[in-house]
Amino acid sequence: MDPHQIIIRPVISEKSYSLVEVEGQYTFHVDRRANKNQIKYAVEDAFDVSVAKVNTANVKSKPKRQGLTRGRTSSWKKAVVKLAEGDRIELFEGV
Amino acid sequence: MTANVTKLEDNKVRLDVEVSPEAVKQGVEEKVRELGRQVRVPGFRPGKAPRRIVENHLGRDYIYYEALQESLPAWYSEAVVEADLRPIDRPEIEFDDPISEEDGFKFSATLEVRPAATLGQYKGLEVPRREVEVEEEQVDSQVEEMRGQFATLAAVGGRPVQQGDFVILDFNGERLAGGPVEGAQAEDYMMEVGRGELLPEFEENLVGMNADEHKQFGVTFPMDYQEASLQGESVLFRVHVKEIKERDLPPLDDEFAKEASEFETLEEFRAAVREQLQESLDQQVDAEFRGRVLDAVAEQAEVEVPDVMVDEKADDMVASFERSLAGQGMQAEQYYELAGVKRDEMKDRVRDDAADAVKKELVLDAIVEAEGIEADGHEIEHQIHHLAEDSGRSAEEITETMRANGTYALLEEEVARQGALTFLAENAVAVPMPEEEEEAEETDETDANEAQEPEAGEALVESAVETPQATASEATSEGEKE
Repeated sequence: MDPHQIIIRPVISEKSYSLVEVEGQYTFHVDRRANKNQIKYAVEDAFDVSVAKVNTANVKSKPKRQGLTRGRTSSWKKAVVKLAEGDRIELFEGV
Repeated sequence: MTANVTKLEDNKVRLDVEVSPEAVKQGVEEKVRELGRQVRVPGFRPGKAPRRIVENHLGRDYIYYEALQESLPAWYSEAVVEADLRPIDRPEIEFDDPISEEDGFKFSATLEVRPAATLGQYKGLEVPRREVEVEEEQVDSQVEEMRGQFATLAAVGGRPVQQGDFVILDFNGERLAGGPVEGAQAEDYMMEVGRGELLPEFEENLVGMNADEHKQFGVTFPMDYQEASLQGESVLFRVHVKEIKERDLPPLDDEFAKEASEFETLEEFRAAVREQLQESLDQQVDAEFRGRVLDAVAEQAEVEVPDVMVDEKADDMVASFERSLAGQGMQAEQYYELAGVKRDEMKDRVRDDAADAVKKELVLDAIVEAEGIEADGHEIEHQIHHLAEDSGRSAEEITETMRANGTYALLEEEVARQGALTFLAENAVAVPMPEEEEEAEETDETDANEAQEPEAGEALVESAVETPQATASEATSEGEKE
């Protein structure tokens, strides 16, 4: 799979930011079908870094309601990627 | 920060300011932090988003614009202080390049500054000075007044009321048309006949009454009476004079001197009174002299008085008059209504005085500059001490706030100006007053002393504020105390 199909977008939040700063871990929204290995290669390929570890999680959808209309948010896959010592990804500035 | 001053025509000055990148950065960062607290960025609690995120969210240009709005005034005033300018008007600020954290920021401000006066001759000017001696009559009247204060009231028997007597009476007023009159009832009211405390017509009717006599008489209130409902009303008063008293003045002798003062003999007492009077007269003469010296020096000097300053001064003068009104417990609007003038008219009226005052200020500034006069530290302390007493805060506190808001510098300047005036007075040659001018000066005095101005208003206000009810009820409570 093409790396750009696997990595959908970075997750930018207080938590993901502090992970970058404290642990050197970068959080992405990734394709549900991708596995850790594919994510690893995709990140290495796209950002020219070496990945030490990948943690993934399926974020469950949540029920939402707006008036009488009921629905759910979509579920998605989150990947927290730890880079090798000294590597950085400068993508979090441009969204 | 660097600030370069270029002089333009008409007291105008161009100030070119270069703000360092660090200062710009600091300003921008402050603004980002502030905006970050106000703006919600998804994924972050308010105020928690890092700078880059906030910037991306709001747009860099917007943030720079906001930061500029915020910091420019501060940069401007910093530059003014650095260039040691005295602006008197709002500046016109121009800049070509937007602010940048790498290159800093450049702007130029065109502003009008306090013009410097071109002094003419200011030393050794011949200025008339009034020579005043306390006259014997003045001492007499002062002593006489003291005597009045030490007077006792003695009951009078066997003669009717005369002008100048004190009477204790009950009275009750009823309108001829029916109905009581508000405030026109009193018991054991003590008053001095002929002092104009109540209506003159009323007081005249008292003359000739004996103690314990009842009398009824009608009084017509004047058309210009303050209380509108009573204007032109005829009121029937029932009066019962209870007691007649007269002032018993102590005899003018050493005995009296001992009681009224710390002096042993009447001669000493009179001498002291004379000295006191002389002192206050001297002060008055001195103030006049200083005023005239300043007039003369201002005459010789050349200043272009900017309209902005005159306007500001006129505004100040009106405002200080309004404050003095407030001190009398009167709203400024009420006054304007009563006096039938508008605030703007008032301002126009003081305009000439304001222009004069501004000119003199500028002249004194020039003297301060020319003679290197420095503000007297003691005097400043003294003034602050006064302020502290008035406001009930400590002198340190006041000094601090004044330093913070820049009024301290103003006070320093003012004190330096006073110093300059003293310098002028010392270096002027006092000559005797020409005869014919003496008269004219008397009336001119109010102009010479700005502080007297509110007093003129005061009198006006007092007469307007006093209502019949107030006088009557006040007097009643006084009577009860006796």
